[in-house]
Amino acid sequence: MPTKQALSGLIEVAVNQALGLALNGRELLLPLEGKRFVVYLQELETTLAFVFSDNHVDVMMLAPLEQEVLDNMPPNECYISVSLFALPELKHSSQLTKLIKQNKLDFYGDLGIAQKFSQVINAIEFDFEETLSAYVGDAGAYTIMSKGEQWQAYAKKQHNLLMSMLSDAALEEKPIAVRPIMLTHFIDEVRQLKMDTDRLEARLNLLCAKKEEQ
Amino acid sequence: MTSEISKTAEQEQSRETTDFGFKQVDKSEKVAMVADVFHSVAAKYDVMNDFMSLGIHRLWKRYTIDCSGVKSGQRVLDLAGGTGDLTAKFSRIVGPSGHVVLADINHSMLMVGKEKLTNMGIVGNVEYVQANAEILPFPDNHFDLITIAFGLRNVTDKSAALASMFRVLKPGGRLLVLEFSKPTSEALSKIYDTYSFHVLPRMGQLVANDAESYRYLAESIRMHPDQATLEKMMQDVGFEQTSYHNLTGGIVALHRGFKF
Repeated sequence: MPTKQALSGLIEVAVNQALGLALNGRELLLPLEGKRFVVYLQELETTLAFVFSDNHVDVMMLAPLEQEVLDNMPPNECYISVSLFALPELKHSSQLTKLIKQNKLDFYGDLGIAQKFSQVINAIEFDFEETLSAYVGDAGAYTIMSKGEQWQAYAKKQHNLLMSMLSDAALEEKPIAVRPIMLTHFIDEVRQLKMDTDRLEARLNLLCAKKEEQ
Repeated sequence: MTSEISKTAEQEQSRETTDFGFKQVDKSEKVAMVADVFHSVAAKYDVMNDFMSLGIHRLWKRYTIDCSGVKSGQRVLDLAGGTGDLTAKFSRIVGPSGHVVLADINHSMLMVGKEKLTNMGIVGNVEYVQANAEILPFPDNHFDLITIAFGLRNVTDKSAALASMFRVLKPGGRLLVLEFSKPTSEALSKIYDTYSFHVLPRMGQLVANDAESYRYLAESIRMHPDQATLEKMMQDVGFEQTSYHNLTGGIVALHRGFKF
C-alpha cells in the first residue's frame, strides 16, 4: 500500500478540515492562492508539497527535487529543507531568518510563501460551538460544549490526582518498597525451606517404612 | 472489381476479434459493449470503487498525481477520466493559467464527472470532451501530461491509443498509465482471483444491482497485458525512459513514459 500517500492524504484532510472549520479559513488562503510551498523533511527524507487554491490545499508527496529544479524555482514557489526538530519553530514566521542563520533551514524561491503559510497556521480561529450548532442546533451545541468543558475539567483533575499519586509513590513509597536484593534473598529462603521439607518428608517416609517392618 | 476487393477486405477487418473479458468479440462490437458496461455502472461508479478497493484506489490515484510532476500553467489530459477524481486535483494544481481536459468515450461517465466537479466548484479551467482514445481529437504536441487511470484495458486497440497519446503529447511531456496488473506473488494472486471472481460480482449485484458488469471488470483485468508487456507496447509507439511501479503487490501498476 502506498503509505506515504496515505500520510499526505491525512495531512491534506486535516489541513482542509481545519481551514473549513476556521472562521477565517478562506480569507487566510487568499494571499497564497496559486502558490506552491515545498518542504523537505531531512530526517524522513520526504518532500511534501502544499499547493494552494482559492478554498483548498492539496498536499502531494514528491520525489526529491533536483538541484537544477531548485535553482530555477519559479516566483510562485518556495522550497525549504528543514529538520523535523526545527518544525515547531516554523510556526513563528519571525524565526525563519534565525533558522537560516543557524543553518537549520535551507531555502529556494520566495521565502514570503513560507512566512505566509506560517501565518495561516497561527491565524486559524475556531468557533467549535458555532460549527457544531450547524449540525445539532444551538441547544445541542451548548450542551455538548458545556459537557465537554466539564469533562475537560474532570480529566484535568484526575490527571493532577494521578500525577500527585505517582509523585507520592516516587518520594515516599520507593524507600520502603521491596528492593531486588531483598526479593532474591526471600526466594533463596523459600528454596531452602522447600529443600528442608523435602528432606523431612524423606526421613518420615523412612521411619514409617522401618516401623512397618517391625 | 477493386470495390469488391475493398469490400471483402472491410468485411475481413470487421470480423477481426478482440477480447471482451474472457469472450472474443468482433472489434467493431467491443466499443458498444464496453459502453453498455459503463452506462450501467456510471451512477454508482465512485461508491463501488470505494467499496471494492476499500478506498485504496484513492491512494493509487494520489500516487499517480505525485508522480505527474505537473505544475501551474500546464495543460493536462485526463483520458478515460470517468468521474473526474484526477481532474479535480489537476485543475487546482495547474490553476487558472493551466487547462485540464477530462476526456471519456462514455457520455454517461462524462456527465457524472461533469456534475460532480461542478458541484465541487471546479469550473473555469476544465473542459469535457467525449473522445475515443484511439483517435484523440487534439492537435499534435499539445499536452504536458496525459494520464489514463483504469481506462486502457477497456480500449479496443491499445497500441493505437498509445500512439495517439504519443502524438498529442508535447516533447518533454509524460504519460502515466494507472491500470490493474499482475500480482507479483503467487499467494496474493490466488487471494485476488478468489476476490475478483467470487466476491466482486456479488458486491456488484448487491450495491449496483449489476453482477455482469463487475464480472466483466474482473475478466478484463486478467486479459490486460502484464507490466513488462505494457511497457514494451509503450516503447513500441515511441515512448522513452519508460518504467513501471507496482502498487499493492502488483494488483495495480503505474507505467510512466516520456516523449522527447
